[in-house]
Amino acid sequence: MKKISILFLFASLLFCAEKAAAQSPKEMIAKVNQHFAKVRDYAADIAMNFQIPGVNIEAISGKVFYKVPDKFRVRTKGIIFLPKQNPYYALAMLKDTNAYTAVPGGTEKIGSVTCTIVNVIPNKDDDLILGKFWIDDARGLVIKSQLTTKSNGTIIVENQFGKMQQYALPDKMVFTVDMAKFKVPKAVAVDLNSKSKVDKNASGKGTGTITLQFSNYAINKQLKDAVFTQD
Amino acid sequence: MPSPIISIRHLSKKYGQFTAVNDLNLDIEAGEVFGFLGPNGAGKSTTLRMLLTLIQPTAGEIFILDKNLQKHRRDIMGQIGSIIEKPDFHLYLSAINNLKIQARLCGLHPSDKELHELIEMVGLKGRERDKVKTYSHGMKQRLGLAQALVHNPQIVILDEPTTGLDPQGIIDLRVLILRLKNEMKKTVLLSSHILSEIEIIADSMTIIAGGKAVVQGKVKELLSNEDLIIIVEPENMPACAQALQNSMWHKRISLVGETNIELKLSKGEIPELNAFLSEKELKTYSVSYKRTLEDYFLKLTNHHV
Amino acid sequence: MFNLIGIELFKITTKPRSYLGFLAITLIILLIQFAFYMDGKQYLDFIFQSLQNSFQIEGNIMNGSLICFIILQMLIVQMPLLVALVTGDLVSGEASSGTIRMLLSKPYSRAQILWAKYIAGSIYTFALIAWLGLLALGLGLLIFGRGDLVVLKSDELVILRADDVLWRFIAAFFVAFLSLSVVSTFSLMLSCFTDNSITPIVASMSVIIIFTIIGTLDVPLFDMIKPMLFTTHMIIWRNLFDNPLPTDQIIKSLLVLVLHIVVFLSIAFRHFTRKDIQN
Repeated sequence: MKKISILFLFASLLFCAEKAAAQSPKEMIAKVNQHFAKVRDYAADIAMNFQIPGVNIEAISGKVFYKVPDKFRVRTKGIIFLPKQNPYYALAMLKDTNAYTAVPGGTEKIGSVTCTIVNVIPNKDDDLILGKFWIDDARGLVIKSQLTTKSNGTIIVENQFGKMQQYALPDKMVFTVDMAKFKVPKAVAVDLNSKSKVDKNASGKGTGTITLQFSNYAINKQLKDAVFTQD
Repeated sequence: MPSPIISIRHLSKKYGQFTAVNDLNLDIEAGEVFGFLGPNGAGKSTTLRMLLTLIQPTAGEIFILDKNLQKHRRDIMGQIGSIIEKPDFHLYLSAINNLKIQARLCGLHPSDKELHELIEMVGLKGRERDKVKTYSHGMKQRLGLAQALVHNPQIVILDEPTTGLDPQGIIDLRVLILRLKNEMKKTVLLSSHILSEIEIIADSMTIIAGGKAVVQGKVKELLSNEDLIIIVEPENMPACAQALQNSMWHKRISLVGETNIELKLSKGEIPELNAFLSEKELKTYSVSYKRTLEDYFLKLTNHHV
Repeated sequence: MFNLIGIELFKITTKPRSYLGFLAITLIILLIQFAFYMDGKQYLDFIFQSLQNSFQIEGNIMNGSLICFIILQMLIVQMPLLVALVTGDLVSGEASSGTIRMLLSKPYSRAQILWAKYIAGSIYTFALIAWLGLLALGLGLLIFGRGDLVVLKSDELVILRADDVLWRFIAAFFVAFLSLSVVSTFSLMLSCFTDNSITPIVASMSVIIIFTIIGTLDVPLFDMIKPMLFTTHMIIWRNLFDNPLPTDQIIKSLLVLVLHIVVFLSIAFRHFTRKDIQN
């Protein structure tokens, strides 16, 4: 009798756990939205690093500003490369649950985090072709996203969260962008006696990476719109 | 007896096989005008350039102001002013600026007043601010002289300074040179290929030919009236020649040519000769004279031409 | 000695030809700055078009530093000529005008005179570079503002932060001065061997052009010679805008340039102090 009780309890626990694990994609996304809805605006310090083939550019620090629904601005003293897409485009898109169909895509471990993959297919003909989200459903956070758009190709965003995870604000964002290998047009490059040899085996395509590290978040300070428009 | 202001000892200059100056020895006394004569290519210019350290001698020594030129160049060169070949200037500068540069090169900073006085002395008053490229040849010669004098040197070296000057210009230059000697007590080394020019103003002279000094001495002694060549151009050449050969003049005959007869006499003997020819009823087209040195120099010049 | 240098500088500054270099630099720089002011954006769009397909590039790319860098690149051929125009005339000009006779019959030794000419020529060269820097960088920053420098190398784009750029430009101007000093010394050396002004100027430019061509040809035969040519090292100023800084390469090139100056000066001195002045 005792053995049967233990078995029953174990099976019940398993059933509950399975029930809990088997949230629908929309439920998972709702949880993500719930987190991020706490943020109306924020300002933060930012350190940017770049790994772009054909471009030798040093890290730079600056400030980043965000305001709902998708105002985003990075202010630095120097030249920076940003993904063509607004980093919050994906999250903004996820808010309108009627605009897309979410399909589960299995699970995948990213680092030590087991993520549920949610594929998002727009319901209407839009710039976005396909979105793929790796969601840590325990915390309700998007760990990784992959968006394929008509205008800007594929962009992958990986997030690392720290103490601001309750607001779904990452400590680190890494953007990976498909790009054709950059070459300075011969007409403008004057490089006499250059010893560099053209690598004939190098493919014409590659990926560029932009890493943003956030710190000193100031949330919901009622940022003015001018912050995003003025030079 | 004071030592010469310039003393040249065994000076030579060779260019490969060609010898431009050959074992030249020369003394120039202080305060005199020294004539440096020779045909073109004799070595005058080369010698003067060696005096000015523009050319390195192959052998020999030069002493100026009792100092060896090679060893005491810096001390000596400030005491020499010169015009070599022709006076040259920075044509894009005015006369006064050219003079200022020359003075500064000798470590001097003459005042504008001093420069104006010098300009006036050489007869260029009123043109000192004009660019030298606007000057005539004669004006450049004058400015060249000013340039040679701007630092008040003890020795002035002038290489054919009358070249290209008109007769008045030549006279003015002579007056100036004599003034340099008599009033300013300078030593002037004057080179030329015209004997008469030297005769007029030089105290001493040397004739240089083939790089060697062939004649040296005081002008008065070398160009005296005691040593003349009398040229008789008779109407009847054979008769005149016979008459002279049968007379006391026969030992003085130096040449019997086709149309004239030359005799070596002094100037005082010419009237006596005229009387003899008149006595013998020997008519002449002309009786003239030249100095033996002139004759020698002419031959030298023609040979080199 | 200062007296002599002052005289030489006076001669240089009163010659009209000395101002040709300044005039040419002024015209070229103003022209380039005007062109970029009017059409610079199109030029940069052309360069960055492939990057702009994948990224959004923000920041003041067309700034004074970039324009200055482009100007320096363009003037690389002209500057040696502008320098040789004056320094190639320092001795031969006096020989052809005859003033060398007066100069060398003065108390100053020939070595002192040549030193003075060399120093005066170097001061002129420095003035030319300073003027170039003032117009290209100073005026450029005024017109186009400050910003990061985009260096267009043939194999990559290097972006240097604004705070990291000024010292590089100062160093580049110094290196450019050293490079042009090689040209001025070379032309001065040639000037000691001739009696006319044109030969040293033309010869200097011819040598620079020939050496530059040899330097750009990818022929194995020339690979041995290239490191010895001063033109190979004259463009080392460009390496100051590399990241990371190729310090060893820069030092090596500077030493080669200094060595060339020493060799050319030695030849010039040896000949000038011994030659007979026949003209």
